[in-house]
Amino acid sequence: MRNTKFGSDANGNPYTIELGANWISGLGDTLDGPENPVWTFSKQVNLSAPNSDYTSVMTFNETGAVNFTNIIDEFEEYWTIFEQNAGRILTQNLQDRTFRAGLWQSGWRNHGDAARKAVEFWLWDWETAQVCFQK
Amino acid sequence: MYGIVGWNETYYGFSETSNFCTDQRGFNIWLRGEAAKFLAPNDTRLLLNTAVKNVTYSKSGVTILNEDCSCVEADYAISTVSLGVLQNDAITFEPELPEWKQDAIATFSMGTYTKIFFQFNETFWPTDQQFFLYAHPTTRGYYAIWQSLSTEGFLPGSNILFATLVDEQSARVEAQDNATTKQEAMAVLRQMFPNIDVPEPTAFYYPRWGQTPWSYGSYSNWPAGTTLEMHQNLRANVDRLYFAGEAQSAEYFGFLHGAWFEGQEVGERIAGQITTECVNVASGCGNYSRYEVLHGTTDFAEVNAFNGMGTSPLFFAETGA
Repeated sequence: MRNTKFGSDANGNPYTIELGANWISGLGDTLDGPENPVWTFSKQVNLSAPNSDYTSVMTFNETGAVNFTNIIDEFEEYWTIFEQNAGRILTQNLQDRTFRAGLWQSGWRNHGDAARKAVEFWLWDWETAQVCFQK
Repeated sequence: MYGIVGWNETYYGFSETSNFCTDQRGFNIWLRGEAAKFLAPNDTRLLLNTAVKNVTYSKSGVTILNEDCSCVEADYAISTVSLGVLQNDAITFEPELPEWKQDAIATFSMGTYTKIFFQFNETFWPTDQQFFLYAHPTTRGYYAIWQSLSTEGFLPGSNILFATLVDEQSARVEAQDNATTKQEAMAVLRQMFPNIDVPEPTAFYYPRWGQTPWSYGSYSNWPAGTTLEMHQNLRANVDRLYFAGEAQSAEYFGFLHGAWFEGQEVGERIAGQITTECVNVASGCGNYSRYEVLHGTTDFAEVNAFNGMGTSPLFFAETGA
């Protein structure tokens, strides 16, 4: 966690922005599961931390705003199969797969389409800070 | 597979909700609060801005040599440096780390996550959305994700927007000057908002995590085919030198809480050896398990014509005269 002063507000004072970690990922704020310790500590200091709403997303390409959020919904359907396959690999000690092979086996195809690749990036590469495949 | 495991442990194990820190005291305020429980203000036991140069370890203790030639001797030591720091040989170890340990360090990968911040004199983008996803026609991940802080509940009226780049795109913008990066990003914004006269930013900044000597990247990741045994070797202590941090967490690698849990685990293991009372019986106490030899799935007898390998792939180098 590291922050810096950046820009200025209406009174000429700089804002504090987070250069590294900025999320409490997976709060564990439900009754049936354990609580994330970072969330526990954040509450103790009354941390200002609004909820990230991943459905609050607008999509664009080089021509401007173009709605391809339907592709996000489509990807998530294949994702369920992908997850189940990973569980089978784990429990049956099967040979591991790359992300690319796992997506392929779930039935998902990006067809080389920029919007479909952007969705892959949005739902996976970004979080892992690694590009799973270039094509 | 372990990518999915990591995802499940955090988002299904805890919950699928995540909060974004906008606290003007900084996100690390909670950690400072925890540290204040055992460190006095300006505590001389805490050496900030002190780069470690060499770590000499043995079965009886550890000696840390710093770049300023100061030195710390201890019965036990815990390294919480990032995987990137280990991979960049920023610290020399004496004796050299064993092959199984070096293998683990080389096997896991360190990702880079770069946030590029802009402040404008107005919020020209929609204020009712948190994220903007841009599909570049040819280059994956080229200024693909934008987040607005100038939205209700975050920092409304701040006119701050930031883009996130990762991996190769991060390396690329780290290697070029700020003006070039700003120009690229502004060209993308002008494509995204063709009907708006997009102004030049009034403030612009991004960190270069891949070049920062105390991080060399942002957080770790498991390549395909990596196993718990390979990872256990990344976690495992060498004599009295122990390791912790997000990269050492099998369940929560890449996350803050992963670093927290590994710190707790290693602390309990060492405390157990000092006090002879072990509290983490379930995970093994004392030394971490490790796997000095890791086997693949193909027995050498299977390297044969039935599997398409009719000629031996082994060629022996001449030893010279």
